[in-house]
Amino acid sequence: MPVVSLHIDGRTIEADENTTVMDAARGAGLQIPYLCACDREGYTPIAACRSCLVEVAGEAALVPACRRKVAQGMAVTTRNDRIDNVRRLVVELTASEMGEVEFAGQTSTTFGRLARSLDVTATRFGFDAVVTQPDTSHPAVVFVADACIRCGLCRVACQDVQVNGIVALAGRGTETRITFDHGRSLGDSSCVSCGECIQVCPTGALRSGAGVAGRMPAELTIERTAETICPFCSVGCRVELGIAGNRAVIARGADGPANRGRLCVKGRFGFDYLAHPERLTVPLIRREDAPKNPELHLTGADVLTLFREATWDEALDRAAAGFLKVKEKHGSARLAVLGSAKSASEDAYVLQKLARTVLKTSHIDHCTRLCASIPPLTEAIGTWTVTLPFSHILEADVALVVGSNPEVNHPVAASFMKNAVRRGTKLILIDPYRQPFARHAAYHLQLRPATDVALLSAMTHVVIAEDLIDHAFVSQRLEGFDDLKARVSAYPPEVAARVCGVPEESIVGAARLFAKAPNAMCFWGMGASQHAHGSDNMRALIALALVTGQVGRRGAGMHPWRGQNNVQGSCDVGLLPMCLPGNRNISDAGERAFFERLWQTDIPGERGLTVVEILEAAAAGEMKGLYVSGGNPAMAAPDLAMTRRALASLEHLVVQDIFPTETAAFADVVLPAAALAERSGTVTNTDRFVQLVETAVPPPGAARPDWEITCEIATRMGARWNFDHVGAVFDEMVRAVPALAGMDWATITRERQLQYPLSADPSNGGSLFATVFPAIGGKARIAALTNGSPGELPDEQYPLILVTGRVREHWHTGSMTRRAKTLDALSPESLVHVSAADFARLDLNDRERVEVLTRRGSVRLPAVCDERLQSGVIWMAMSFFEAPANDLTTRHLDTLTRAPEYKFCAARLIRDESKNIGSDNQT
Amino acid sequence: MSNHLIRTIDGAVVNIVDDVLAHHDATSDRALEILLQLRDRLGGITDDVLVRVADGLKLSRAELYELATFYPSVRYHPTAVATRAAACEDLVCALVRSPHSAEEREATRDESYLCGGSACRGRCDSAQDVVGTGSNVVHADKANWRTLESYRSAGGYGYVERLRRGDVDAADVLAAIERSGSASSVVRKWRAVRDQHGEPVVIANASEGELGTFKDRHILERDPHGVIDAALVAIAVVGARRLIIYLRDDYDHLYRELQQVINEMRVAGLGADVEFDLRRSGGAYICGEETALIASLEGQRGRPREQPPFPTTHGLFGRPTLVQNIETLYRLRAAWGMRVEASLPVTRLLDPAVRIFSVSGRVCCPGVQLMASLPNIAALIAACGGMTEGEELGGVVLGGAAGSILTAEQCRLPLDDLLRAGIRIGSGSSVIVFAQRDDVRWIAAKMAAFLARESCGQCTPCRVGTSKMAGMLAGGPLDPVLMRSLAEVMREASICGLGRSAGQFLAGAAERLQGSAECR
Repeated sequence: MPVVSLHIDGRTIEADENTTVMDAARGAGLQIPYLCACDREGYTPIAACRSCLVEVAGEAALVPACRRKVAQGMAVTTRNDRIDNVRRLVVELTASEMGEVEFAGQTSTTFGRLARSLDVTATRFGFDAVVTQPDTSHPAVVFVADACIRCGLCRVACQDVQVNGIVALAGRGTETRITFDHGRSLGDSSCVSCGECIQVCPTGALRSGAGVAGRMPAELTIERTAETICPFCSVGCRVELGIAGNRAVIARGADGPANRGRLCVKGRFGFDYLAHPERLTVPLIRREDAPKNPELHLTGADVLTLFREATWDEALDRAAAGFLKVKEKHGSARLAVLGSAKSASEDAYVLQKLARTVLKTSHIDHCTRLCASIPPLTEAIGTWTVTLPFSHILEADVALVVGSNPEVNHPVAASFMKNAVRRGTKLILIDPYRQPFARHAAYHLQLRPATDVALLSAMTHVVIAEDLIDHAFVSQRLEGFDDLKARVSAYPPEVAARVCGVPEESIVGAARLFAKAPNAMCFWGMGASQHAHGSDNMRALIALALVTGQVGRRGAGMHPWRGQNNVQGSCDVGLLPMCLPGNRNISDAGERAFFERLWQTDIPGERGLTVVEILEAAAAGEMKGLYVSGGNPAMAAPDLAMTRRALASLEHLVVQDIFPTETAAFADVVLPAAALAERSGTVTNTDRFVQLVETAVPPPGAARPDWEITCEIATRMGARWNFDHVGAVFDEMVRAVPALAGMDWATITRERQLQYPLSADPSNGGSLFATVFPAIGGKARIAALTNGSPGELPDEQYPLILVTGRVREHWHTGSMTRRAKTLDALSPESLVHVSAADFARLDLNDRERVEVLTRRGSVRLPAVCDERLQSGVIWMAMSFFEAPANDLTTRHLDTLTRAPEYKFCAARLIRDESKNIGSDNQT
Repeated sequence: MSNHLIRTIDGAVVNIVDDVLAHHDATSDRALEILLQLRDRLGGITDDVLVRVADGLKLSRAELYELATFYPSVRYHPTAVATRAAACEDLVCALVRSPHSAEEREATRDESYLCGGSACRGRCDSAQDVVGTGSNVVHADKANWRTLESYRSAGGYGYVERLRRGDVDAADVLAAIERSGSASSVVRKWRAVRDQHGEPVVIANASEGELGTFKDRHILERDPHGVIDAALVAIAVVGARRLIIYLRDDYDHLYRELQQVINEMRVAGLGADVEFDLRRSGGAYICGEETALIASLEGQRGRPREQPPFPTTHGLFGRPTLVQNIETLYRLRAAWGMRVEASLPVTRLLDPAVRIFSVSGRVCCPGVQLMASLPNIAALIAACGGMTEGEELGGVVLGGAAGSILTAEQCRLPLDDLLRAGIRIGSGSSVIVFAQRDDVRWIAAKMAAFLARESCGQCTPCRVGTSKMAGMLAGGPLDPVLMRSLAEVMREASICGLGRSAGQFLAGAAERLQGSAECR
């Protein structure tokens, strides 16, 4: 990019050719005033507020600095009598569009600061005399029309940046006004509460409704700010918390490598869970008279009644002693550890170290098992991560998205995907649900549930038949092509069209589009993996990507979305039954030897059981002791009836968490942990960014960081570790995990984020495997399929297909988000979604209470009609303890990944005939 | 917040909506034309139609709602279809229809200074026909244009044929235009568009919307082929393949006429390799401005865009774009030999010395005047048969809504004197004649109200400024100091010509009204 030199107020400065005058000035330390400008990614100049006007020598008219690009030799003046006078008049005129009260309230806003800097305290043009009631119809976002200056920033935020399309700047002339959808109030609109508009509004006309702490921000005084990483999904947004009285009261998007200042509804409005009264603050020991009853579904305060308070020493002694007792009486193989993908990597590392070196068990797992979208990629190319960051979609010509609803589950990432679509990236969506995201798709292949293998195989068939394969890649970098060709020969597009219910020309068109793209990416999610044949789905997709050579370049690669904020980190450090830290094969003696040297003790060499297998073993009396840290299997595991029986049957269960979860109801010892924002450590997002977390607010009561608690238990069981601070854990972790090579605590503390592998070629922007797949000897492998199918098909008795998933406002078991006031207000109850045809057939009314039954259990909840669903399919979210979806799901596991089939089981739906007013579904 | 509600919409309406969408390939840049066609067939747009169109165009409801509420011609209302358009309440019709003495003005002074009725429809020359009937649309429109055959027999489309055959090339055309003494900006624009990378597009701007201006309407009613002929030459010179005729929606008789004209040409094999795209404006005055016009063709609101870049390099969808108005196109043909025909007075425009004025207001014969020489404004009034009976000349508004208000004395001054005094004639050559008994402040307030209504609303100085200006002029003691401050910020800080010229107008009004009894 050529550099030009220009003069601003007599100073000569240099800037890239494509820079605006405002940015060039800012780069030289001079901030030109503005109202409607935003320098964050995705925002383009609006130039409507006219606050940034400057003089350019040789031009008679004033010029907006936010929009005008620099030019060689340009001479800019930012202050003189003319400019100052005009600017002052502009601000005076702007103020006159406000109500007098709202103008007076501009204490901490951009506009308020600008007005004060120009000494504008009143307006000769008169304030707006008409008083409009604020729109408070929406729990999260409030619109105060009397403070609006129609700058249009909120519109850009909603239409262009987050691409949610709700904010309208309607009308013209003085009738110009902000409204929502087609003139609706916020409460009636399709606003998804991302809060981007709140973050950018220069006057606070759009403001947080309940705020993080349930108060209007106008009444809050922020004492300090601190950064943290969002604890919800794997995008890993950097968040700036506004803190008052040591409580997080407001959240803004900070400039993290993944989010670039954006947030979604959970990151924006979800932090008040930190201060919820049900936070665990002291260690608890189960009362002698509190039996473990699997028939009871307890959560929250009800769980606490089963326990008495204890000191840390008593509780830790009890925890350690219990494990020792099981170990001596039953053996190490009867001990298991279920960690979390939500805590820091240091917590997970220490936990698996405890398991292997102290408990001497390999039964180590965490909720990654329940998603498990990586293993087929490992099988194919030897990687345990995505091959490129999601942001590469901005460089991709085509994106193929299978079994994923990014607007719901990775909303901030989805906003970048939508930006890419607007810039020309073509989207191919494979999903039985006509998700709103499909409005951006060139192809939405709305296939029947569980027919992905046929569809993807047909696409591969087309690619091979029409000779659209990447010949160089196939011949030099791939094994198994001939077998693949033979396999997909059974799937010409007309066959798949029948099986999948998708038009043949769409299958062919999508295949050609993907194969011919210079650079194409694949994304996949739970829709692909959470099936008994999930790995087949993913293998079929990976095969398509490989034969078309769509890997290894900028904008070309495979991105199996990581789910939780630190599932990548937890996996990397070995919180898995088949891997030692660094994804090393536990069965390999050499790898084990390395760790025995590192840890100065012997470790077990057989691979352990996975989550559901551990629970099944417990239910069968073959697992006796369990340490659950941060996970919540009593809500998250499939077939909760079995899960509760399993947990109740344990001799010794230690639960370490921030809330008294459904799992804690079965514990012998409950240990209070610090939440992510209350301690330091590192978490790794879906893009392989290791991000630093530092203490933003202190933990409540006696709660402590997870790794500290685990170390205490280890010490009491004889271990002699000396991790005196979390950095020491990090430094040992780096020795154990090759992916982290080159990092150390000092560096990560200074840099705040590092993308691994550090040795990667920076010119590829984080996209790996440009030439070889080193972990498996160079060539990718196409795996055979198992030809599996769903474990339980619909039949006469249970004629509907039940699919479970998540809503945007809640995270997984809801232990955190149901306790965030605004999130719960936005999504207060579980609803079963029924297709329009079935809704009519069953003659249901909107929100009528129904009962959904499967062979595992039944759940009562309201039903809503959803015209995006195919007939025969019903859907519900997993996050509501009053209507736990996993009471219904099956334990059919995928053969490779052992992920449960959350996305498919047989169900029946009837009207709720029970007259039971005090049913367990009351909120 | 529920997304699950199913909206019910009348089946017949669904068919009409889907039919119109299919006809336009459901592309969102045609959103305005789609809404206008639905308005033609349904009478207006209601919410159920809006939602269905948004879904069909893959636009968010917010985006389409913005368009529907920006463009008044769409006739959007959430629930009800408008029955009849109200009578025009803008300056000329209001002036002629309801004589405004100072006493009556006092009696009807109210808070809503903005126009209550309908906006100007470009029939200012038949304002007096409105009295008693409430509508001046029906009477003025005639369908009597010069046929293709007649045009060709006068030499029409001959030059385009020569271009096609290669007898002349683009350089010849540009040289001819230069020699003819037409505005040098024309050649500059054509060259700029021609030299630019990317496929150009030519837009004939028939959306004249200036208050009291109807000359383009006049030309198109009489000799539309003359305009299209020149446009085809432009197309050939700049290397475009698409001609968009952007027509003022109010000129619905011309919409029908031009459809027939284009058909005539197709049948005769003329312009065979040109895509003709007849598009209507949305009733927003601002869309007469080039960049706002282009925005509306892109399916956006008609909000002017800052220049540079200029449409010639970066116009419709970023392509090099040539926008020419009707009068310019019509006159251009003199460069390649088209001559004045005595039997068709409008052809006098081929004589560069002849100027065209739209005269309305309190004259006996309002209408278009073609004048070879104009000593002063009074001569123009005389050409229109003088003042209406019993009226004494009070002055004229020259140049449209943001124009100059001239006194009767100034009307008798030589034009050169006026120009030297800095009085702008304006692009539309609009002359609105008022009487001595007409209140100048009322006139100024009407002009301001027009500007306030027509402001696109994008930038604060214009959006708020025009509104404040209209309020100041509507009533209450005048504060010339405040008016001058407001004029300054509007002139200096507005994005486009509407705001800037509104500021100039306000400065002029402040001076004109200063010293009157109503000042502070």
